[in-house]
Amino acid sequence: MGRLLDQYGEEMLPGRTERLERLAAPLAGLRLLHVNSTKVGGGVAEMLQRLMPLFEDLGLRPRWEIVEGTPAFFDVTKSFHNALQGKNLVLTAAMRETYLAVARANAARLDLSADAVVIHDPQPAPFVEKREGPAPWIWRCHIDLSRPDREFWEFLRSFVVRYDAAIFSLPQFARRMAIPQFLVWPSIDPLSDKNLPMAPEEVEATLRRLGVPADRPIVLQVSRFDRFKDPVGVVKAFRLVRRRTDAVLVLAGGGADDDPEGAAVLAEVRSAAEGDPDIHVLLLPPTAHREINALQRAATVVVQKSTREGFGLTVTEAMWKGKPVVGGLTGGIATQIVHGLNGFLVSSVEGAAFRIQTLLENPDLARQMGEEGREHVRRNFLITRSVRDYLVLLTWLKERRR
Amino acid sequence: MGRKPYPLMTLAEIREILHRRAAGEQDLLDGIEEIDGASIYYHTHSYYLRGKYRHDRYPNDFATWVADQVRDRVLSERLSMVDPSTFADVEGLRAGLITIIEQHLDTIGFSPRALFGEPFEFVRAHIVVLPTGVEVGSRAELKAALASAPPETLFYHFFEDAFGRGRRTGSLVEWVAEDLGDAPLAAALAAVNPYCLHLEQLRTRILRALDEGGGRT
Repeated sequence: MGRLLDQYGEEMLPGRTERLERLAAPLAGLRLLHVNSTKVGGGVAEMLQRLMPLFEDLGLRPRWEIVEGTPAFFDVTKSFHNALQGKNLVLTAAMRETYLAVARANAARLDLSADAVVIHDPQPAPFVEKREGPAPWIWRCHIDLSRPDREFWEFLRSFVVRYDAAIFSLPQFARRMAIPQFLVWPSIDPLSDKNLPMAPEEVEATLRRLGVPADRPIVLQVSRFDRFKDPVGVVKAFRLVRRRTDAVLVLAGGGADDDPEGAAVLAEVRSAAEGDPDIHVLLLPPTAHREINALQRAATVVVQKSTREGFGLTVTEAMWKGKPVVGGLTGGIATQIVHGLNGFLVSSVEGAAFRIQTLLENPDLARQMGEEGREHVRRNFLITRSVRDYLVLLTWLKERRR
Repeated sequence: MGRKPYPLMTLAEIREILHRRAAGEQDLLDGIEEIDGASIYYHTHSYYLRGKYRHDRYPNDFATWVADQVRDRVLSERLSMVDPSTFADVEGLRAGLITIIEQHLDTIGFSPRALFGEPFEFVRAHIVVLPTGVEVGSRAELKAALASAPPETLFYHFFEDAFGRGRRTGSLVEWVAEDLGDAPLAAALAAVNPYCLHLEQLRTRILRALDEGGGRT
């Protein structure tokens, strides 16, 4: 078995593996501790599963610990997650106590000795109370703090300001604080089930299983059924397109069982699509990585017509598969789509329709934009770039201490 | 020959969020006046490092934001023609940008805003410079190395090690003049303006200078 790093090397630009090795060389043997709330499920855990062996391949000594919590603790941290992203909730004294008791018990239980510590998201944030020695502590925030509930943020902030640095996914997600804050875009894993190359036969078989015709152009949006993703707007845009151009629309998204608003949006989408055999609304389980992969590969045009968006990794995934993307001019979509180069940025239903139609009617343009998108992702949004960002930040923190 | 070999370098950067944003052209002007010089450098240079862009994209973040988010074609066109190589340093470049935006705002009499767009976010980069492990000792070796060097190596030697350190040309050109003793080639390399081009075009120009510039081979 070769190094995992070498498998990624085949996806990177020439010379990138060597650059990572040179960057990592002065950090050889560095004990790098990551702490988050789970080893399975969710984007952070998926990312850490891959980052650990990559750091090892580069000569660091990574370690990954998790917060062991009670159901009550995770209920509280779910409230944190929602309130920090803008939901209006009340932070009670009991919630603070539950949160702090579990976080402090974990901090006491775990071995936090390391040469650098990266704490992910709010769950283990109070661990910083236990920091000892000169090792830098970094808080990696994966969520959007642009409009947090003030009470929740002020409470969390009292811990975050004790870190040496924080990392955010976009500048607009960050909060003003006295510690340096760094921009690290999220990234995708080209070797995961969601992104691995797939045989055309598997793509076709998957389409058949999902009831999507393989012999007509496919317009695809993959996203939760959430109003900010504007799935009804996508249906309206598709209807405008189909007046002149043949295509089918696929809206594929995660389950809405535990999300009343999601269920309402799904009902609206189904109602908007009712009676139209060319619109396919697919409710897929969170584990349907290969199905998503197949749909993205089968698509002619991928849409992400959000009106508010985090980073929008579905855009990255589609670009990696060589697809042109029509995306709403918001959040990380505007960072990824270079308008007119690898896709189009739009601000209305009509704009989306116009650009989708342009791409459906111009296969050469669509192919060329898809190729540009794949190269854009290769340069900027693969997991190895996240590794590089960590290495540069660790180097910067090390030099600053001198 | 006694020539000192020259080590080719590469770099990697991480961006720092500065919590300064602009929602309109007056805000952009205020930000450019007050922000750290490293941010001015980042927003006028990182375009080259970010890869191959089409010719119809503007070569600095200020012009691109004004075009895409404020949708003021006149100002974006004026900002697109700011050539850092015509300024002695980043403070001169800052002054040049300020003059253009001030004149534009004076002319139109109001400050256009990104009404339907995203605000401009000022950032700056911290750069780690690394050896590539490649050392060159002759013109032929330099040419062979630059022909296959990663884009970051070109960026380091022709931007970061030059304007990034407040000088016209980088240490590579000095090495060609002093250690390689090839003043005509050094002059030919110094005459290449990297700001007109993207990095692959810059590579072509440099290789052409290495083929044609000066008298030695």
